[in-house]
Amino acid sequence: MFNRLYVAQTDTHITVPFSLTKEQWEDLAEALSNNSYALLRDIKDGVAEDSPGPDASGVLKVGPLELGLLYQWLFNPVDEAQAHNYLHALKKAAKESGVEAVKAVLGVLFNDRRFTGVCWMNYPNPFPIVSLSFEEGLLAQIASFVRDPTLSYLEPYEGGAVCFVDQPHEKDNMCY
Amino acid sequence: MGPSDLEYAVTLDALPTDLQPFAKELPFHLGLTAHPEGGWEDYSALAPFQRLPAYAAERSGPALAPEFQARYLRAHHRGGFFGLLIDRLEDGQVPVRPEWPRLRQALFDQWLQSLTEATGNEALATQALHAAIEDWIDAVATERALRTRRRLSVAQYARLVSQKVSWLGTSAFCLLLAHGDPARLPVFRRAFDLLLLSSQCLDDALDADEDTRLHGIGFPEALGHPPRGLLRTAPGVARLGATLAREGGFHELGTWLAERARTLDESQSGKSSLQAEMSALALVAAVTQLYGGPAVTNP
Repeated sequence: MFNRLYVAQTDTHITVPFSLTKEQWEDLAEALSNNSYALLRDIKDGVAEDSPGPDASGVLKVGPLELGLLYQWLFNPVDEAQAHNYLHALKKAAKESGVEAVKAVLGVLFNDRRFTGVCWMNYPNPFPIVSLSFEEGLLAQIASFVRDPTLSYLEPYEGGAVCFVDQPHEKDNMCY
Repeated sequence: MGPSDLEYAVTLDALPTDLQPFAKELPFHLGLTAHPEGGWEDYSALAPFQRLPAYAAERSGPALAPEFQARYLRAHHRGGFFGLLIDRLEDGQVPVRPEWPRLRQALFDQWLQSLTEATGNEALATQALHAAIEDWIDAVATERALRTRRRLSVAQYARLVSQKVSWLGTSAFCLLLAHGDPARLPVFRRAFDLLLLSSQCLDDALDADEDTRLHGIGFPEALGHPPRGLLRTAPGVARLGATLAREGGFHELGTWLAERARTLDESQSGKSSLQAEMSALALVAAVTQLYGGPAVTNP
């Protein structure tokens, strides 16, 4: 409906002298139109096929897309029991051994083809097993979340605090 | 009475006489306030939303003359009256009334006129309004499609939020184009987009149940994340906006966004979960990739 209103308005009342400078038009187009600014926003995310996969040395850089995948694997899992096992392992690693142990657990997880459904052999640089590379501070942040006792009151999942694997249910057991 | 309501009093006077009694209670008719005498301030509480051109006017050289700032602020408010009207009408949140078409046309005319007066350039004002309305039409189509598709990527969500209310930024964008440094506009718009996105993450998290009831799906579910994850994304996105704003020399906007991030973090302290934090980490990382930023981690 408003399309018609707008067209009527431009047809009947507005004359357009096109008196902008070339720079103004270019900046206007970049900032307000669907061209280059839209390209900036047109970034894929969320599916493993969009990941570039490992580099030529078999190293997978954990970036935004891989973090999104990690979230989905752990919290919207196909195999809930195995997701639960990984959360347990991450918790234990973060509490008892530190950041490098968390990295090791994540390394196993990212290479668990049956759990993730992702085969790194299907990428431009095919590797049966990848090693992980994290931006500075990212791994420490993940570890801090996992071991933070203030984050446990809604666990294991936000839908409820009932553990679906036969584990002790008391909160003191940090059941994931 | 705040600046929006003061400006609306002037707007009212310029409307056709027979529309004025109905238009006087427009915020109430649009459901923006619970009382017929309520104003626009009841709805747009965040300072940058109330006076965005003032944030865009910040610069290292001589300040923009107050009379120019006042003109852009008038155009900003009038864009807000019009934008909120079309958004509420489209959303089906208000009953059908015979006054709507004429009022919508009148508010559009006032917006265009005030932006033309501010910029001194009818071509710029026309093109800017055209871009904002095209954005809004695209966003409405995306929202409708979402109800069928039921999936939304972070990039699609960020774009939807940016487009749906780009009219709110139009006057500030034009200030930079006509009376500022046009080269600073892209970074200002990115920071503004992040302000919008942060606010929308909060709203969409809190409205998830209502959206599901009204439309069959809420944004958290469409994104594949929990509402609390979206809630925890809001401060991270505001913090990213603060960084970009400061890098672009918009220090007042940067300071406001940083304070907003801190307030949101404090208000959510002790109410989060591992799932929510991991969700927010992934969402903020995706937004950072989208808009550019220093790192995916929080400071």
